[in-house]
Amino acid sequence: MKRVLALLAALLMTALALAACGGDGGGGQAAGTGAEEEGEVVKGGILRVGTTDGYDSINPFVAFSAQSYSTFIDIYPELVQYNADFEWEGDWAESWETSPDGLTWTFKLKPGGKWSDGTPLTAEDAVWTGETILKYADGPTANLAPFLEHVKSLEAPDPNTLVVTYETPVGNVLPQLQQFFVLPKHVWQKYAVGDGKALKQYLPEKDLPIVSAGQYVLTKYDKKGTTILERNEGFYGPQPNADAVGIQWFANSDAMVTAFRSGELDFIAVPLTAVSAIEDDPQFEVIKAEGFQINNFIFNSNPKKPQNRELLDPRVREAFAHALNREEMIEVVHAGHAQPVASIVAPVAGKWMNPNLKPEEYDIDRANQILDDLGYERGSDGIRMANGHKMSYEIITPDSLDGINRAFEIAKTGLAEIGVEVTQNSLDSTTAFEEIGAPEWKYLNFDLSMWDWVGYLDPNFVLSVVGCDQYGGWSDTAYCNPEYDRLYKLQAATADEEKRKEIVWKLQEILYEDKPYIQLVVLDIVTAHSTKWDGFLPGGLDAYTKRYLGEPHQVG
Amino acid sequence: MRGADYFLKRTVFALVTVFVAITLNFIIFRAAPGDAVTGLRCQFCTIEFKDQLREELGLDKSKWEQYVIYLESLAQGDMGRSFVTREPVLDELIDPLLNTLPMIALGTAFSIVFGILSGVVAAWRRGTFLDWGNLSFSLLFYSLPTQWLGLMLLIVFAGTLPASGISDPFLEFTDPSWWDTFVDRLEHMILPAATIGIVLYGEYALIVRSSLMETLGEDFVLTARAKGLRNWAIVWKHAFRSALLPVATLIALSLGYLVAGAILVEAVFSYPGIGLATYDAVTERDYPVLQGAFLILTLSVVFANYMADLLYFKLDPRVAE
Amino acid sequence: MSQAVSAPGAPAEPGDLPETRRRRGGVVWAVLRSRPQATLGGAVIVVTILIALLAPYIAPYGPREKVGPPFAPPSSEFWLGLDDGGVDMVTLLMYGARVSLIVGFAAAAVAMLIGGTVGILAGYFGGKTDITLMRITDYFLVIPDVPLMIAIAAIWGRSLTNIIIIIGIIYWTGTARIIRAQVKSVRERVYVRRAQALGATDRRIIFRHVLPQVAPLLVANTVLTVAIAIFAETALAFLGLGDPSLISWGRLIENAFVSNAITVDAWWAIAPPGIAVAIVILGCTMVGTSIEDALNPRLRVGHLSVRRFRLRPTPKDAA
Repeated sequence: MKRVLALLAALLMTALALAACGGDGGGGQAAGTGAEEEGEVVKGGILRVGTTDGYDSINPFVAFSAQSYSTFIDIYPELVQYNADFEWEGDWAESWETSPDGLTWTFKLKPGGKWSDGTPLTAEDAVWTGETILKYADGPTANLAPFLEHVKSLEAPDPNTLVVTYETPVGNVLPQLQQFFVLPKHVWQKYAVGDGKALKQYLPEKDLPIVSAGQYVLTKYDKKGTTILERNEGFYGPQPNADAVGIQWFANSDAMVTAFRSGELDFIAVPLTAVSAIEDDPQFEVIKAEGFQINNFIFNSNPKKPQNRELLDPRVREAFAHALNREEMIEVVHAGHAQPVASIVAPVAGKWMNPNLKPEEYDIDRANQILDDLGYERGSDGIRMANGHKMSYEIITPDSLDGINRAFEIAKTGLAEIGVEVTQNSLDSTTAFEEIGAPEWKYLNFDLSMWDWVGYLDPNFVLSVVGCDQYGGWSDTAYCNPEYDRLYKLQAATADEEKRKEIVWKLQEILYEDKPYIQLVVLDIVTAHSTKWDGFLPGGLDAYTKRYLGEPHQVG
Repeated sequence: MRGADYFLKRTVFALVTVFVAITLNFIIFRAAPGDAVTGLRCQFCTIEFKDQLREELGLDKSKWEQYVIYLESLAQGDMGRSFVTREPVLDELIDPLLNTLPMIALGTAFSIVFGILSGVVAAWRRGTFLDWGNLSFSLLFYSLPTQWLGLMLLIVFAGTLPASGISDPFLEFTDPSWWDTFVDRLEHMILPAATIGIVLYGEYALIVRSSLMETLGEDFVLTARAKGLRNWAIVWKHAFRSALLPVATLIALSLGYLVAGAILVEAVFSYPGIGLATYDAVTERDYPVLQGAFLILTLSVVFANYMADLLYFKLDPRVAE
Repeated sequence: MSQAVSAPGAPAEPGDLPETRRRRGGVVWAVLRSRPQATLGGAVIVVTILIALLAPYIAPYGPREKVGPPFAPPSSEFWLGLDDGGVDMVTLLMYGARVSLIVGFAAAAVAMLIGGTVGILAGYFGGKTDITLMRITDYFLVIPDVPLMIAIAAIWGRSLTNIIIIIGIIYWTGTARIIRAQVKSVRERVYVRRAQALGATDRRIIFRHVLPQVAPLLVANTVLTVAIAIFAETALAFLGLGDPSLISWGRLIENAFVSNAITVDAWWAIAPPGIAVAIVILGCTMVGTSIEDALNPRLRVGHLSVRRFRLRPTPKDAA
């Protein structure tokens, strides 16, 4: 008996001892944060950020996730960035000018920048990065290649000047170059050999702190935990207000919001269903902004698809559109924090969105009328027959999309009322995308899907996803329209903004008529911060400017 | 010698089970139709990457050869590399394992102490309201779904106690003392441990009660009573020791179980232990890590069973017959 | 308890049924009637089954019907409030009972079939069969259950059938052990030997003599397995591996978890499903243990732990 008690006591002691020093979390002692830690000083301190959006990789050639891209913005130089009013300003570039034919862009760079290991930052790094991306654009650097499309050459006549020459005029040079991260040549060049595969296999997190030249240095990387960015003393631009930023990943948003509410975090993007709970609390300030994410309903638009070809008919698609209740989705799925949309270009893109396109009215009667007129009669079970088979389809959904199950339910109910039956095939996003492309990126199998697109401020990217060349790339619709592609290339090469805008509007119109997508709603981005901090930009700008994590400061 | 025989038999059995565990581990993850790599889905899983991985893993060789290679590498402590991080699997799993153990120990300690206490009280006061009340409580806690209990605790204590994780990641910036770190860890560990503790408490209380009830019916207790010993003395000195047999083995066994079953609790609290690591490996299709985690979990159950056998013997040598 | 269950020290063998009560389930029924614990448990199970069967008729609203704003609190209209989709919780609980019970009973049936067969074969034939089967059982005992379930669910896919099979093939071991012990003792009975001497085939003996003796224990054990199966289903659903098109209690808990029910303090979306599960598990446990207790008051406490870990055979039933 005594022995058992002793054993138990020993166990307990061991447990507690292990608790103190075992396991994860204790590593990575900050190598001197330098600045003052607390007190009345406005500058300094650690900004504790929470996210449910994880990093997938910290290698720019591999990463897809939005969180990774946000961090690249902070640790690497970009030539230009947006300010809080969505206007262009220089990041690394002090000023720039264009040649009369629009093909040559000369950037004067801010001097004095240093990489965090002391090596001077020069235009050579930009040249090397650009050339490497172009060299392997068909292979290892394919993710970053689109941002340098049509670039013929990069040159550094002196350490603080970069000249970028294009082979044809490009309509959106600045937006493209804003996503051009300059990497340290002296760290990466040894991987750019042979077929360049080593570029993708290098794990920068093995060599912490990551050699950075942005406003922050990445000193600790933990996909499942907290990643730390610390102020870079050698930054060419204005020093950020915070000494460091910690980005803590949470497996689910409840945990993140709970941590935020109990004061463990300073800044989070608030899940839309939790906004009302946070708004009412005076210790927090909520910032609402227009968002970039548009949830959509997808039709397989491959003209070669063998089955269910009635779905290729724009009238059928229109009927579907009248059966999807956007208002209910906004209310139920997004707690009211979303807007109906009609175009793949989000309203936040400003003048680029075509305002003449209106979201289809939720009108069951009209939808039924259309299908009746097409002669698709209902069977005894209420489901219509088309071309000799039931209008019964499978909708592929990615389980990573917040609220997708609820959205599916709403779609299902609406479609049931017009005599169409749907079932859900919920898959993880990689598998879902493969199912859409099945077999082998020929897009012959699937009928319908529900997913989203997160566009940029510049519409070029999001308009590209429906190109004929995107089979096996970004395409989730198998849409292929040569006229569309022609116009798309045209807008990309049009430097005159007004002219470009017209073409961009026309492209959206084409998509609206052909309906490879029914664009449903655009989500607001709601962020919240504790009142101990201030100076936050609207959410969504995290991948567009260093100001996003540079300006927030503690309140005195 | 009877004892040594038993000891030997049990050891051999444990070793054989370990070997079978390893083999079955291999079969489940490698010998299934289609190799582990074809089904692999990840961002950078291009055809070239998969081919390279196949080569690396030796998947182009025959199953038997693969099996031999697998055994060999295991002998050297090499469990392969994670598909996702490309770190050695063992490295990936050690920290989570060390995170889970104290949490479980804390929860188990809680449940043992309270379970034994209430079980003894209930058996001693058998038939009274105390017994009935205790029985109901135990049954109730025993029936509650673990993850649900965790969520309930979260609702109640959110704000007072941390809702997730194992430590405050920003603590290190404030130059904490040893005590600060300890308290921080403890704070993060309490809720998950309490969840496990409550669920187990029910089981322990019930079992101690039943076991003690039986013992109290046996002859030697009758003798003690006849000798005029008081209730209190009888229960604690004589019956308890006898009732300790199943309880002791229960403790050893639940350590084995718990390491495996902690998944639900760790999922609720985002606690980075081996349960969560297993779950993540499943969702990310990180087969080497999954295989490694399985092996670790299975081995810990085998080990716990083995300890239980030895403990059993120590407490009641008759078991060797 | 009026039936002739052996009191301590009685000459009859434990678990023995008087000859007059050969009818299968006789003991079960008697136990249910006389022990308050069992009666209560049985009532709970019956009521739940009734609710599940009658759900489409007695539920106040539709299971996918939005009847109000998301996470509306309980009111006179909606006794348990609404979930994140604006669906009535009471309705969801009723429909959820159907899937949870189906999974519970079906999986338990699978486990009973496998475990019962293994146990009977091992106990009756003894010798090599016994040893091999027990080794296999031992191995299954050692595999961590939840990790195996999630690994298989992830590989095979998330349909209802798969889940039932997965649960069944992991939890049959408890049944096998107990049935084996029982069969071993039954096998030595006088009438079994007599039947053998008369030249009856093994099959005949098993079905006519062994099975009826073992049946009550099998029933008890199956009821307990139902409890485990329901628990396992909630675990799988919680980890996102349940069938996505089905509403089960486990799914309700998971739903609340992923839709921030905690942040908005919507306890009514989380508490009821868990309590429902607990009540059914409780009911099953009470019925199952009561029957087992009645059959053999000396039966060691192993049965209580069938749910989660498996106790080593004690000296008495390892024989």
